[in-house]
Amino acid sequence: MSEKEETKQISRRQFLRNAGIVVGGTAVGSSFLLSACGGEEVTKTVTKTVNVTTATPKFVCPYDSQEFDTFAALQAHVEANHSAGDPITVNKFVSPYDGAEFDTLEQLKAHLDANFMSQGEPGVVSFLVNGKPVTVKVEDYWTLDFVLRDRLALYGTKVGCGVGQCGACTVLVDGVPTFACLTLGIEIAGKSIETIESLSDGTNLSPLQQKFYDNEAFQCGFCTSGFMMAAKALLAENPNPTVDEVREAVAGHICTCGNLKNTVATIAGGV
Amino acid sequence: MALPELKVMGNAANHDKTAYTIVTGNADFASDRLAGRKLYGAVKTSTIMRGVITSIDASKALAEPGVRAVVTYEDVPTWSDAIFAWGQEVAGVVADDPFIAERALDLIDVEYEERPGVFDPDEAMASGAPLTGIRPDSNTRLATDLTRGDPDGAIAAAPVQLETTFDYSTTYQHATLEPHQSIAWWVGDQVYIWAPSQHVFGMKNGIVNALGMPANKVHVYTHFTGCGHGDKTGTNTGEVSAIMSKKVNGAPVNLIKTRKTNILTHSRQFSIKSQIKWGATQDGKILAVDAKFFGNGGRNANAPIGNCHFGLRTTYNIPDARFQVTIISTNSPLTGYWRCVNDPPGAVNYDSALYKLAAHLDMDPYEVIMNNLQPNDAPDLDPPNRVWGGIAVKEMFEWLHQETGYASKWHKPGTKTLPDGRMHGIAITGHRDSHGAVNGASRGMMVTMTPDGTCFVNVGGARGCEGGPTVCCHIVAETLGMNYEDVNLGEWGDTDTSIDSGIQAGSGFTGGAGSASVGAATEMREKLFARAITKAGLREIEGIKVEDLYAENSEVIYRPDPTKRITYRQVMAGTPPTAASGNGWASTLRSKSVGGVPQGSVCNSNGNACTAAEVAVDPDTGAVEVLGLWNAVDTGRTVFKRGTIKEMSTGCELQIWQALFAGDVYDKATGALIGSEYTDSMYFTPKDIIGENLHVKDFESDDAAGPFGAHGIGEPCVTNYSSIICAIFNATGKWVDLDKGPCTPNKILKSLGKA
Repeated sequence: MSEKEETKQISRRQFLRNAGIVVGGTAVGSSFLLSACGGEEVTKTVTKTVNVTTATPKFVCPYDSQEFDTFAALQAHVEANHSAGDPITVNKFVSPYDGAEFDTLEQLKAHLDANFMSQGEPGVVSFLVNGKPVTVKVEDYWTLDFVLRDRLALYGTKVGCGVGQCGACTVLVDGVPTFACLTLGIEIAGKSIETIESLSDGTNLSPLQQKFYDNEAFQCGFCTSGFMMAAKALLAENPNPTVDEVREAVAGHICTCGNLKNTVATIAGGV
Repeated sequence: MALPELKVMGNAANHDKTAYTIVTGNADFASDRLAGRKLYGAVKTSTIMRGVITSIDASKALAEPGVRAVVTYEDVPTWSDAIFAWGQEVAGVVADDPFIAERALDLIDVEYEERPGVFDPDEAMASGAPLTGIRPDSNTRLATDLTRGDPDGAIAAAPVQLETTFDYSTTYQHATLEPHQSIAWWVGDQVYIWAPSQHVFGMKNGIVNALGMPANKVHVYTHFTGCGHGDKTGTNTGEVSAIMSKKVNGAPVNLIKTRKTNILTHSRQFSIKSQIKWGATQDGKILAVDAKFFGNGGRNANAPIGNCHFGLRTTYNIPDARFQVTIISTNSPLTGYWRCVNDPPGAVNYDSALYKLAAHLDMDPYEVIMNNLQPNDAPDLDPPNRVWGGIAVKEMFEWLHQETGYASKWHKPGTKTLPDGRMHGIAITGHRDSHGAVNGASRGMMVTMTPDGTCFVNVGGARGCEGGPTVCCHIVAETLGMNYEDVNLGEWGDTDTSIDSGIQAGSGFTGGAGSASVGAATEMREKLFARAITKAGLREIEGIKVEDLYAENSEVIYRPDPTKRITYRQVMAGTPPTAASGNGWASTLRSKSVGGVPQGSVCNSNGNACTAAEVAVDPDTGAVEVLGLWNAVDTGRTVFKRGTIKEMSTGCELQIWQALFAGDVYDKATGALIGSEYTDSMYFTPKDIIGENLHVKDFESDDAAGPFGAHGIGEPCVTNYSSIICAIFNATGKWVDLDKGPCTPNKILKSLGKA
């Protein structure tokens, strides 16, 4: 294989690193395919298995580091084994959902009550979707796209490959374009998720949607949601991107219809 | 040539009727329903190239928490215990979520009795090769054998004789972004299925046959297909999910194939090699050709390869010719059409052969092409000597010649270096093609006029990339003389409420469903005009007849005095305040005489395309930059202007992918697919497009074979693959051995003797 081909082979990974795409979490599954090597013959198979290692969020006692699945269990432990006035010198009470630290159990409870309505339930996550708080019971191996589509009926987020290759499932997590297929549902506790459904009020198109409409920047429409969410993130930081800046920003997306010229031109220049 | 003025068709202001739905994320693809109320299916595939399943033990899978059922080849009629390729469906799992289902597949133990297989097409053709088992008695089949005149004698007598060969063209995945997926559930003895099908009635009929059910108890729906390219035409996922659902007492089952399974179990473009003998004069007149094509159909016994010679046969005026196409069965994955019936694998073979002939003659290949073009209106040289339409082929070649600046840019192969040291190349290729066929009288359409004088169109086909239902709305509006905004899309892709409108595939849909749209709207118009002459504003005209009326801008107008007119709303007002409807069927008959072929004769409209490519090739790295790409397509009449232009543009982008990026990688020893451009970060991205250097133009001609003469658009714009490969030859002076894969830098360096 030539050096040039090797560069092309890894270029997409470079895109992922450089394009503002957050590849979050550890996805379930196995990778079966060896690098294509530009179509040259390859005679051996490499198999890579990725195991799920993410655990249910734990509530940790700051006095003795014991872990508990629920806030209630932590509270019972603390009340039974530690005096209310015992000083915490090293550790803090930590919210397992967002990492926020507090000096007292009461402060942690107040934070959880305010931000996570069903705190303490194993496998239950609370987060914002398109500005609205939701609480969902999830299995620890469920991916974000599955949570959005099968638990919340937000079908606008499409899944093209499930392996981080196509970008169709891109949503914004705290404003950052993220492949939902590579993000676990349990990772999004306390975060703000924006999907394609957030872009309009149901009747009126947003300026970005209007431009996609005006230019008909779609073919089959399956990749469109992902492109538009990536475009929203780009335009938030760069309201008037050049064609090359757009190409860089959406380099983690593919369109198997071949409508990239139109899509890139639509995003360029902003709305 | 002055063409009849059209009011709605070809208007660039008109949008796709589903545009709002798509940009708001509301386009409902097959799996976009029944959240939280469905189970999930997954499919296990074979791990041998050839053999027979001897046993399947699913006990461990069934014991896994969350697993509800297992299906095997014994449950699914279109599966088999006979294995003809690595990656063939053998079993499936139904589970509470897709992740459990996928994991459970590994718990199904499948035992095989292996038999000798043949993966390589040349080995399959060799004497004494083991039978692949795909065809009963041979690994090959002569699918086309057509002789015109005396090619052997004419070649022997020709002043110039040349034999050219081309090794297997690129094999590439259909790789639709939306995977094959479906949801099925049962209510009593009736099954309901949502699936992405380019031909929803075809899927329904296939399931009816597979399950042995009455047609009125099988309900199949497709609204959107997330890319098809010709791969979403079978029954597979719909049939399998229906059987899976039956196993779990009719509960909804959503079968979503993973990207891996999608690639393994569905088709890819076949690859073709050729041996072509030419007889010609010194000044480039082709006197005879003997063209033999060999296509690898994989495990598809009916691989649609037999017409790969079509462009060579119909585009050029060659008096003595032979065309033979051999289909080779191998123990390799399924093959099928890729967004085109005949090309690009056929075209890259005969276009490169033509370029080799030109080089042999020391001529500009464009000159050879133009010297041998069939006249635009000439009938087919072979029986039944049809007029193929597409009379803009010559004009398209000439446009490309002018737009590319070809006259000043072309040079003899391997002789021009750019200031930066790279080699420059340019090429023009093109041909007539046949897949704009009017698909027969089985295609239907329904139009309904509502009491307020607007109408909606009920299309029995899915929305694909070219916006087929939108095409039908244009044609209905044109036929009824209505404003485009007064015609809306009703239900579509629904086998319960629609008539079969044919396969959703660019030109085919325009020819079939579009032609049926004319019929439906014409029937509607007759009803409306009959009602119009009874309404105030027209009924006062003494002796008024329906024949005196025409419609424009949603008004019915009295031809002798156009000031007398009423709106369709007024036509529909009053008693009875009900909707009116019209049904139409596709016409396969030519609407007027063209080229001496009489009106009313059976026709087969064309989709013709000509393309050009300009490239720069780095002699040190083999890297190719596409400096420009041009695409001209003869549309007959352009129906949906935005859709047409986009379809042509996307065709160009995909051809860059096919020429330079696409390609599967197999382990020939086991037949295993071990790499593809889709899963291994090789697919082309926004960084690989050429943007402003991509040029397209639709050409209108005066054909009479489709609705208003429209051929449709979609598949034909796919010869850029040829032009890119030929342009690389023009740059380097060397032909690249593609070896079933893309034209990679490494292969180019090999052709230059540098690797």
